[in-house]
Amino acid sequence: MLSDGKKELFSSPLHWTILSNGDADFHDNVIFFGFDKKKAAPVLVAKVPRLVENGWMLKVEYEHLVELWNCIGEDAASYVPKPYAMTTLQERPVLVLSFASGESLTRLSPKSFWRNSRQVSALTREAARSLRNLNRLTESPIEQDETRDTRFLEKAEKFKHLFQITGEEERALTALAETVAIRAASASHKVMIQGDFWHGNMIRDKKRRNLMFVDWQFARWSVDVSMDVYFFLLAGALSATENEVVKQHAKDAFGLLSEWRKDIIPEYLFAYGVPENYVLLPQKYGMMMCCVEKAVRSMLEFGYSHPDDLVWRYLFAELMSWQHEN
Amino acid sequence: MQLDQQRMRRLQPRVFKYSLDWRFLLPISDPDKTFVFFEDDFDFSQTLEQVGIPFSNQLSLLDIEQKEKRSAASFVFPFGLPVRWVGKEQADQIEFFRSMRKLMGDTGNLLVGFNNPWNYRSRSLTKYHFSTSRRMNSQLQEAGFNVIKVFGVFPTLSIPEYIFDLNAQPVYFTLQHRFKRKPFLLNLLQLLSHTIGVALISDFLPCYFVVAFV
Repeated sequence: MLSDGKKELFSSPLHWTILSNGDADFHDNVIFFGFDKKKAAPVLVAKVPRLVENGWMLKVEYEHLVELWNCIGEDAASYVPKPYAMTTLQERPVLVLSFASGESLTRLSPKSFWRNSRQVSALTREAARSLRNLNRLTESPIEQDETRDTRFLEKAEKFKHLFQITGEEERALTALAETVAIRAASASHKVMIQGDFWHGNMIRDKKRRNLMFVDWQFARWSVDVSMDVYFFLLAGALSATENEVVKQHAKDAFGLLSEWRKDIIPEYLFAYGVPENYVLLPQKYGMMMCCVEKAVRSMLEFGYSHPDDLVWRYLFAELMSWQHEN
Repeated sequence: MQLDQQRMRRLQPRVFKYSLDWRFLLPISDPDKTFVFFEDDFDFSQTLEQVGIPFSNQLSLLDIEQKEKRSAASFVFPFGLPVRWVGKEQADQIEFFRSMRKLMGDTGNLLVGFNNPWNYRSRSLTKYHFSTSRRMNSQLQEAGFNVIKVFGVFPTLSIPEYIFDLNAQPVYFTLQHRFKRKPFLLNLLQLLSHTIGVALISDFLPCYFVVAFV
């Protein structure tokens, strides 16, 4: 019987709703919402991979969530679901979590939301504050035998190998890798980053109205928070400028980011604040780093390319002309 | 950059038109013991291969009868009873289910997907019979199945975004989730479910899966 501390999670056989994301990608998970007879809201959520061999992803997510809960205790309830168990049902791996009640931000409208700067500004500031609070909670000193290496070099190499990059892009990539390494070497603390910090992985809690963060399979300890901080902005700009022509999509997203540079990005970064003990790269480097990681992630983690990889590669090229801030 | 596009396309896995999520309703996961029946569809056959389910469409029921592996097997008609195989009359369909029950023995299970006749979007799909949850329930009972469980499905049988128990909480939850951006429709459905009840609302879902055991 599953329990949350001493409390049993359910008292009768559960009823289920199975939710998929509406496409047939076999590398995705499906989500089961379990209902107890006595309660209106689900008592638990179970994530199951469509292909059994992808169960490792859920195991990684479970381990990260357990680590996070162990690290910050009950405060974690304000930010992430509680991991109840990693188990096997009918030979399928299953991750069992608490239910985060509220509305997912996945389908924020490209026009009515992302083109409304007041709404975007409010969400970005809120996301920045929540992220910073969570980072403060996990901030821990780096032990003597621990590495500060962010493994960015490996991703940069994969990027070079995967795409036909120009000489100028290669030089920019080298400069970026050097900056990432130099900054990392100066850090004294690490934090747990979520690794996929975008609005699609956020749920607005129904009661507390705060943001909850889900999908922790790409989480890791890092001395550099740039991936989470800048990915949120880039994913928002890409969502706002949907376009089937990939290159144009990247161009439009870059255009919107440039507009956001006047007020939304400075406000967002101000709300996040300046970390003293770990790294937040300058805008240009931080955003380019995100593009590299996102462009090669699918290939490195799963061994195949994702349709979105190219847009990240093109956005990297666009960001070459981003002027460094003062 | 043109080269990048060509290269990346080659490295992408194929995304199919079918999600096969009905597999989660079956009690076993051994693909060798899952017999799936459907009208000719190359893409669907390839999707089955992707998850290791043998392509059984070409087997006659007699072929399957001679198979050793059919004990505790799952017999699946994911899109419904094919029009070419089974007549539209109640008696024909009961007889068909009865023959399936005999074939399955005491340990197998049957899964049938079907579109509701109210589902105007699937009107053009004439390869499979439409049905209702009540009609399907009574046919399976008459054919000798003892345990029958019907699940609601949104929006299609090919790629269901939602599959859910037809109990109050999962139905409410699914409707809320599905129509949260259409508040007028959601309010109307909630009003209807309070006045006429969830059971009646459930009669108007676009499609269903039914799982039956002897």
